[in-house]
Amino acid sequence: MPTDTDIFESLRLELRRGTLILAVLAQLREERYGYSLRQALSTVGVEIDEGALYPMLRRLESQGLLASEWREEDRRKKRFYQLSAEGRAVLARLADEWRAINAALEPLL
Amino acid sequence: MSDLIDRYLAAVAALLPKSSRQDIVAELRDLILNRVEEKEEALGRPLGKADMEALLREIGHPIAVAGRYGPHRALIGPEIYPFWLLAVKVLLAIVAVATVVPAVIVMITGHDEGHRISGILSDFISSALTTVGMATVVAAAFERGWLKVGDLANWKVSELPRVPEGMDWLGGSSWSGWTGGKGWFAKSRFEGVFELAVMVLFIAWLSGGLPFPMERLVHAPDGAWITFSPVVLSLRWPILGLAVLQALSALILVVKPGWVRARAATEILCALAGLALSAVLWHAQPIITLIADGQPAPEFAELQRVFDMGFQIAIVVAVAINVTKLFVDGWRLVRGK
Repeated sequence: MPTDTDIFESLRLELRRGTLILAVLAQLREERYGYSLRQALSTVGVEIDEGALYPMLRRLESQGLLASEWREEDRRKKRFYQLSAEGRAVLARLADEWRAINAALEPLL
Repeated sequence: MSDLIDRYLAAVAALLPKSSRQDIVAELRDLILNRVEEKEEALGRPLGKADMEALLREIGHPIAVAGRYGPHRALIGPEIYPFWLLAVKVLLAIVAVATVVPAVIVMITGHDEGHRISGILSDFISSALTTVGMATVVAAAFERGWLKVGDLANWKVSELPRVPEGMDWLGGSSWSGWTGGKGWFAKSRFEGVFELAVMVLFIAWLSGGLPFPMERLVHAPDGAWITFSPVVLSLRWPILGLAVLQALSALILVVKPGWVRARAATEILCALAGLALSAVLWHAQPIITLIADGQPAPEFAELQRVFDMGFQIAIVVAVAINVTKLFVDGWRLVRGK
């Protein structure tokens, strides 16, 4: 029998899943590599597990929303990600959707 | 320390697709090294072996980490799962019936030597596991798009099973005056599954695919035997055809319960074939003869008379049922519900 905490945690994860993609896309308006992206998200209060972040980046890239390239920085090769043109368009639409959902839900909450 | 990282990455790499292996491993290495730097900065000293172990454990088991990069996280996703579950239930019911019927036959015919029954149970377990495995493979193929969903996506409300009587709790009004509920000839889906399993076994036996110890069944005590009229043997293929039709009707009920007209048409064909069969058997009496020492046995005359009368009553009942089925299914064919 799941406890109240389990149920809350599972619902919280479900709620966060979609918003994390939105946050990742928004942070990749400027070029970042995986680790710096996680730090940037953490700074603004969005914690994301690396185990979820890296596969998400690859998936978004395979969907054409991100572009990436390997470059050397601090004597190490790093993979830098940035929004593609298609990614920018999708982010704009998702942001509108987010604002609409937020506006609809806020009075209810 | 670097050895631990290499071992960890090699374990992950072994589980990754070849095409993206190098890329993912390079990125993971960068992630790990960043984490190492972060940790060393926090601790103010280089990481020891135990620290490194803890850090890599934190990142996750190699199988879990590699799995996150896979295109599919679930073998059967939430969309396909309910269909898989229903299919497994139906298939297991068929396997169960197909197991119970031979077990009952073995017990009736006295062929049970203990190991036969346990053999049948063992067959059930292996058949059930194989069936569930096959259903899982098919569901996984749907999940990955190797098989097209097609029929599942194009479902129609009109093809759903009809609402039986006594379901007033549904709260609708359209069927409150409905009179075409579960009558004498209406069957539930479960009955369809049972009928299908029995018919498949019967067809398997009749076509020689399933051994049935008939000689033990007809071997009466006191040296008496039952023989069948030669016409019974000549009717083997027509009976097989009738059984196939009946199995088809049951299959429609199980798979497409909303196909009322198709099932009614099949049932009408079955009823017509049943009537023709009854007529042939009536004219071929006696169908069953009790013999002793190769000759009709006078001492069984009374028993023979009971057999004959029983057979005639069975034929009359069969004719009555088939005629009624003709009317009922004819009506269903016209109404389509």
